[in-house]
Amino acid sequence: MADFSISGIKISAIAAAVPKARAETTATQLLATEQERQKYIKNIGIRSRRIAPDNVTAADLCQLAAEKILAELQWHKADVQLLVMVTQTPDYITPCTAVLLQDRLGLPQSCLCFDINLGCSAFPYGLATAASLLRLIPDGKGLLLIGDKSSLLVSAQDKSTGLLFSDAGSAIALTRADDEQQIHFTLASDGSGYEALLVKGGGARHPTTVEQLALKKIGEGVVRNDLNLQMNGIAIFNFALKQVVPSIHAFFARHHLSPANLDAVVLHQANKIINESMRKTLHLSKEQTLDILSDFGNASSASIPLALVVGKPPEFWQAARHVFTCGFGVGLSWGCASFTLQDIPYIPLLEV
Amino acid sequence: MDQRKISTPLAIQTFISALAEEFQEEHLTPAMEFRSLDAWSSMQALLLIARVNEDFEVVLSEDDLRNCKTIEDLFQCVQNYQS
Repeated sequence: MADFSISGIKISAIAAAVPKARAETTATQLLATEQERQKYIKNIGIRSRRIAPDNVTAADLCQLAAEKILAELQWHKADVQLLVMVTQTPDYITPCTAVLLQDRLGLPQSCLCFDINLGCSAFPYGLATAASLLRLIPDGKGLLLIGDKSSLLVSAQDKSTGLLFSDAGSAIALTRADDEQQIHFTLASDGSGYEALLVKGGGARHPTTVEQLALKKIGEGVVRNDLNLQMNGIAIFNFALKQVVPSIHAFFARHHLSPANLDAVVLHQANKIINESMRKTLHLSKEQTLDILSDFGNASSASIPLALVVGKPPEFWQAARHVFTCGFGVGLSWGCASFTLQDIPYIPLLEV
Repeated sequence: MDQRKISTPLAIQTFISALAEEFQEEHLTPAMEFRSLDAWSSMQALLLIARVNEDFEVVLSEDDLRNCKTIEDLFQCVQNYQS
């Protein structure tokens, strides 16, 4: 387990962007009866999700969030020396999306840009990577962009994933601060569980073939091809309770964090069964634990910044707040980050 | 803060009551095969794991579920973890 703290870097703003278009669970044909649809809403917790149109990518959503931040903070673009993009749905297989966004955002060529391929653990990993690099760049400002268009990956005929994921993009502004500002991290990986969330085809291990496009019936209500995301919900749930929860306990103990002293706890929004089990096991109150599943589903990599933006009212952003976050999922990969939010503008959700 | 329950042997009736509530099936017996219940689905599997974790502090794995056929098998499995 990589445990460390970074001092002298702070979050200056958080923005999130989602498509306007909603997919309502009550309107799905994936569940045969109204009773099944209501049961899904009650247990999985997702009433509607946001789905991006064909011409909008994760990069577009992140760009919108980034432009809003640049305007809100009145940053000189020339000062942005770092852009890290975390996504599993890049605009192209190559080149990486961060480099494209350097140009599209009008950032200087002196800006360091690269992508990270992570999903639900994107926030703590992206924050740790961007913050540690920014520490080495005198007077630099940094942008961390996190987003996914998961609707691209899922099969419309797979009830295990087809009603779960939402599209979203986010931007997090990072600046230098005094050394008293600390961000604490724990980051971890377990590649033995890679099949729990997997797009099997299209990579170098199984290069794209015509056969991969053939839809296959995997089980009742689960029809997909080899370029679709496959998910094993039981394996993810076991991972959350057996590996992620103990890491959070250890993180709390190491940093003397008591749930009572946290103003916001943001767990990756997986589904209501997993999130409620984690919340109860960790003795976190409903009030302090953000829950945006009902209207935004599982927004993959962007779930944590999105939850902060839509889950907290304007007043929240007006005082110093102690925040704990935990991302976990595809990889398997997971991480925790805790920090203080202070002097942050309230940026309402952006919708396109 | 120790929230663990006092470790008395788990009674199968306690276990069945919890499952009956979770499956919304009134007449569960130890010999019933849980996969043939009307309510059984992939989502119900998650609900089962959540309930067993909450009430009995055991996390059932995919292999555990695969190796169990009846409700009594599940009960035995949970007991094995607890002992």
